[in-house]
Amino acid sequence: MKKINLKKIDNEDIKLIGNILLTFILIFIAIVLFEDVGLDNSMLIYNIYGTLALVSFLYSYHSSNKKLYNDVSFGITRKEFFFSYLKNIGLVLGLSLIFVIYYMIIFKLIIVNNHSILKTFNLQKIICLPLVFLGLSFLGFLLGILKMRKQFFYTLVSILSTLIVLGVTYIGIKYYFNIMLGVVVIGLGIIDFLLIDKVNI
Amino acid sequence: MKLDIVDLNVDKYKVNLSVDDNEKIGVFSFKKDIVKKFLELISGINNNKNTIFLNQNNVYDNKEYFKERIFLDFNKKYLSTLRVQKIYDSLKQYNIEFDKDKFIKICKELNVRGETDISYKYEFSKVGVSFVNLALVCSCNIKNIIINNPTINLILDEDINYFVNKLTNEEFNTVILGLNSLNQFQNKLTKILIFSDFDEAYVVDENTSLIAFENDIDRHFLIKNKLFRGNKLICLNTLSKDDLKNYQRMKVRFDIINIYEIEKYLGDDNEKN
Repeated sequence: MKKINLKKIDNEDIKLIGNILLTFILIFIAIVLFEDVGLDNSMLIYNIYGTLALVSFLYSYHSSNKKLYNDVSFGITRKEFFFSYLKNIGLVLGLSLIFVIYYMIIFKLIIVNNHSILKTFNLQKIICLPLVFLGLSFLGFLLGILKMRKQFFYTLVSILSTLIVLGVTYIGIKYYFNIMLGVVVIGLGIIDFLLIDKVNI
Repeated sequence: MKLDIVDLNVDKYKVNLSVDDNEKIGVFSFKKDIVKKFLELISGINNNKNTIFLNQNNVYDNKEYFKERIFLDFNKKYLSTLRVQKIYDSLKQYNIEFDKDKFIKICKELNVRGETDISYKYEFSKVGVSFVNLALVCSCNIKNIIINNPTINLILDEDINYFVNKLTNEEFNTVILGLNSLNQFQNKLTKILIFSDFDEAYVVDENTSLIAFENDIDRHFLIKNKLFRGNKLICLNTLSKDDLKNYQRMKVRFDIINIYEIEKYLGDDNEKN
């Protein structure tokens, strides 16, 4: 019998595009299923940002705690490293926004035809979530630069995960909270930028 | 590559050193953290507070300098694969050209596979980590290298000789090595920077003469330029013939030694740090 030769896909770009397309399809399927179950309309958005925020928190910590040292050893300057990090975080944020907008549009088209998007979704919360994502990313980066011990770091991760889930589910977000969060995010970003230039790694 | 170090402070040590093109510099101390700190400063990783210069420019986070040098600690694992295409792709992000054939050749000569457990991932033994790190540094197009612990974990003399020859041959331009063992690099170094046990840094060369006294000699005599204390007290030999004759007359035992005999004269105590 002739063997089928399944060649591994090694091209990272193709893998990335494949994953993005798969996410679009899964979001679509999730909306159809949510319609039957009758779940909170923003649940998937919480999931997307909750997961991203925690993953990004870990990624940022490991970037500044370990990867920075290796990259600098191999010839990347600290500023180049920081801007490359910002670019990655920006790309993830952009992509997540595309997923969320896609979700909202599909949700409106399939489930709630008669209401506008603004009425269907709690926009304060949807603005708050990307800010939480950015805030946690910058905080992770800061803790990595400051070489926070791993035991403390992982304890912090568990506490933050619990707080995010409880916060997003039960707390009503007001606009001034978003403004405050925005200021904290910018502050953390500036502290990261200043520290990366000063701290011994 | 010409580096100038002017009044650099590394903890309590003060360093002044000039590194010229093609020089092979060894950095030695029993305080390994000091050697690491110094290498991180000279490689521009950490801030030297304007005391280390490449063509009058501070080397700290200096893009031009970073293009010309690479810093590796051979005790650390940098590669998780032997697949040359993957290594090539990874190094591309650092703008480092990677010679695949050379990497394969060195890996074969060192029998890296014998030190590797290949399952779903590549697990290198400690010796294997040193092997692939050497293969990596030799296969990159960067000619100025700063290496910490160059022969760490190596046991066989032939492996040690292979490493010493590869790292100090003409293939590289400027070489700065944080030595885990001094005597392995006999006759291969142009300068040696020593961080003594007494908070003083000295720059010596291979012809520098040292003197090994009894361990407690400095209780009875004023001894200058002390380097290390172990089974013996080792100092720079700056004594005149008359001074040495005086010591002989007073029945003070001492040996005149060369720089590579330090570890031999300190005995097991040199593992203290």
